Amino acid sequence: MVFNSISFLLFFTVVFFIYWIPLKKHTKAQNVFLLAASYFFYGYADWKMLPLLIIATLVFFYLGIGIKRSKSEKTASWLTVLGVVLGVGLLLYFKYLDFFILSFAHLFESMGFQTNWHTFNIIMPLGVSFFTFKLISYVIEIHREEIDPTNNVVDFATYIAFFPCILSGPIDRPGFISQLQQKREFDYNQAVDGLRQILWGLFMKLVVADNCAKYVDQVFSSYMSQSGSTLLWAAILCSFQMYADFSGYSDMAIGVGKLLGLRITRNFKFPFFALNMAEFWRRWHISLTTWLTDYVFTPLNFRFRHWRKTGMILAIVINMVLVGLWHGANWTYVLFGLYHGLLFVPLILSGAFLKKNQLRTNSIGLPVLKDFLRMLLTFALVTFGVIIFRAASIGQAWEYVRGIGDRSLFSIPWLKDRHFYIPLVLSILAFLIVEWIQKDKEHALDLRGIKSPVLKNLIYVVLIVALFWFGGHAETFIYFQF
Amino acid sequence: MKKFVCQFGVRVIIVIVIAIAVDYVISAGLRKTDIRKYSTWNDIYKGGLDADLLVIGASNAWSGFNTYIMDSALHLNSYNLGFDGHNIDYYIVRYNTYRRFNAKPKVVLINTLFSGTLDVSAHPQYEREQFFPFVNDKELMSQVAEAKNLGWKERYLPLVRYFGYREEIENGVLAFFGKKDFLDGGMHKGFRGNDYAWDEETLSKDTLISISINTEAVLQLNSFSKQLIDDGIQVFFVKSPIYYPLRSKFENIEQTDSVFNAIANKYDITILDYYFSRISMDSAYFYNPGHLNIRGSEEFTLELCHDLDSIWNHLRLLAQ
Repeated sequence: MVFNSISFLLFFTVVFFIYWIPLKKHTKAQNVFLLAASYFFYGYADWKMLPLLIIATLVFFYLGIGIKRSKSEKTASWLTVLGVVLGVGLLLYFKYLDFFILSFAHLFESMGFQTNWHTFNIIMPLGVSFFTFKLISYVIEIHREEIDPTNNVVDFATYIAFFPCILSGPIDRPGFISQLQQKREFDYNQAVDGLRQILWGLFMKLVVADNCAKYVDQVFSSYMSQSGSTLLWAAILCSFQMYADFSGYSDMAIGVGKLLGLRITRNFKFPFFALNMAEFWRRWHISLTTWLTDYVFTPLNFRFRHWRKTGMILAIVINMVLVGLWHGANWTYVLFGLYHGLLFVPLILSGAFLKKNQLRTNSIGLPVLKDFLRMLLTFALVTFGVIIFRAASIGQAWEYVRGIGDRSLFSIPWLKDRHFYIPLVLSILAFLIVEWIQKDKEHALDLRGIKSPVLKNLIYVVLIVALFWFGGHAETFIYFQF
Repeated sequence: MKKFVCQFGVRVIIVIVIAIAVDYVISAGLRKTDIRKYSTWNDIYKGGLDADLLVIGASNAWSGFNTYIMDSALHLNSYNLGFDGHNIDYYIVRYNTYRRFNAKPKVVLINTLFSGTLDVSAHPQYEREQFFPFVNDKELMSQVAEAKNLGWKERYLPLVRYFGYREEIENGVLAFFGKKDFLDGGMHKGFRGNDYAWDEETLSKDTLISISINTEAVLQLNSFSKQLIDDGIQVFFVKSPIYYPLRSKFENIEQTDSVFNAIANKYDITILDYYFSRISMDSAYFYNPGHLNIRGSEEFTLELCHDLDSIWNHLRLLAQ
């Protein structure tokens, strides 16, 4: 049941009216209902793994209480370590065990040893990368005394399983629980803003991402026979696809949260306007990068502080490799993370790593040439990383890059037909222009500054027509696989 | 809350009204076109085809049985119901729909080539959009639903069914407003001659092809044959030409032959076999090993008509 499906529309309509009409004045009942709806949503996608989610939730709920009530710091630390080990263990088992077995088997076989190891064909629970990070951050923050554990199991379970975020994030922090404990009033402006954000998310997913996917999938599956220019164009479209797919999902999740009176953490901040890679990662998949910054990079950086810049480089490389590995069990993800980690090296050495950049615009509101070129360079670096990310293996990524470097790079790329590429290019240009105009706003379709109802309705009509006319009909999201 | 629900509700109602209107425009437009996918359905629904001879089968029938030649050589009114990419269950759906709007044929040729006739639809989603303009036909829809093609979204939600089908939207709207100049699918009474470049990809594969024999499909072919015979229709099974090296790629062609032979014997149906005809020996008659090109369809149909004529003359002599 994905956001862009009729079944979700029906599901959410029922949830919305029950939540706001009979349960309006009963916060606890609202939470119980949200939890039931979330478990239904998760079970609808993957009912076999629902018991795992419930058991993991209960274990961490009691761990949280145990950490708080521990009489000694040592016990609290042990319980926290237990929580982290359980959380990481869940991930390792479901996501990485087969990968490690295969990798070690290959390693030993390449050294001449005979192995008859077999994989377990483990089925990965949907959303495991997202909910385990929530579980881990809960016990760490309690141990750091940044939050108090909740005594209400429903609130905690709702935070973990909250249906807009369970399958693909954003990864909210335990502070979200406090929202669940407060009385919620229906806020007209927030709800309208939520609907707008959903509309924009649908546009990004169905118009931009799904149309890019049609081209990208075709080229990546036949990359050996494509010209360099076609491969380059497909790589560029793949960057747009990745962004539009995931940010579109995040926008819809945040919009759904707003309709329920809940604020979900922001996940993207117009990353294609970043002036360097450090800034790119401050704008891309923010909930994951801040999570890893808080729980991996910062402690490592502190531990390596005596090595100064070398220590910081080491910490960032480890952090970025984990970012890559978080996406899945494949060496391409490890390489992707390593590549991004290494891109930080010149920034750390030059001191630009921590520097906040301010986009400079000229008199007509466009970026100044220098900033524009920096944005282009950042985009090019991101696109190169996307090739590694998207490829099925490192060998394929290498062949793909070699293909781009071919002499046919300067030929005219294959573009499918004009019925395809004209709307595609127009939709990409449209989203870039809208994002540029709205770059200081909370999301691209934040229309709170526009007074004219005619203009607002016109924007809705244009988006709905685009959705209908140019929309694809894929019923999945890239980040579901993670 | 009330304000939100009212304002949102009004917009939703406007969108629904527009959706119904646009859906009507697209569907009505597509019902006027000659685009390959819709041409045969549109002919069927218009009625008055009243063919003496009907061809039934998949893409091999559609591109192989030349209706220009059948009409002129046999001096009768023929129509080709060949259904690209579909199997026996859908041949029957199309035939039953044909019969609701058109008179009973005298002769039916069932093209028994390939697996389509002995398997229920392997790809029920293939070109499913061809049914969208006809979702209001309950009888057709009940049969299509049985063949697991359209879901409730496509059947009951206006416009949502066309979501993502850009070509259908554009063609439907243009056709509705009379801009039909580019909508000629080159169809003639269900037949379209194809002149594509020769493609022998199937032959280059080393693996053998196993023709799926589905019990349900065999039962359907059996009861369909009986239905036609009981209706007083003369039925022929036709094994239209395939490029001869392809035949050796099928690992169980004898098994399929025995199924057809059993049904043919049961209902006294004549089998016309062109697997070893001179056409099958020459790739110049094909655009791929399984499909005749326009030249092949002409040669094959002439040969078929000659054979049918001989059989009918023979029967006439016997009757005298």
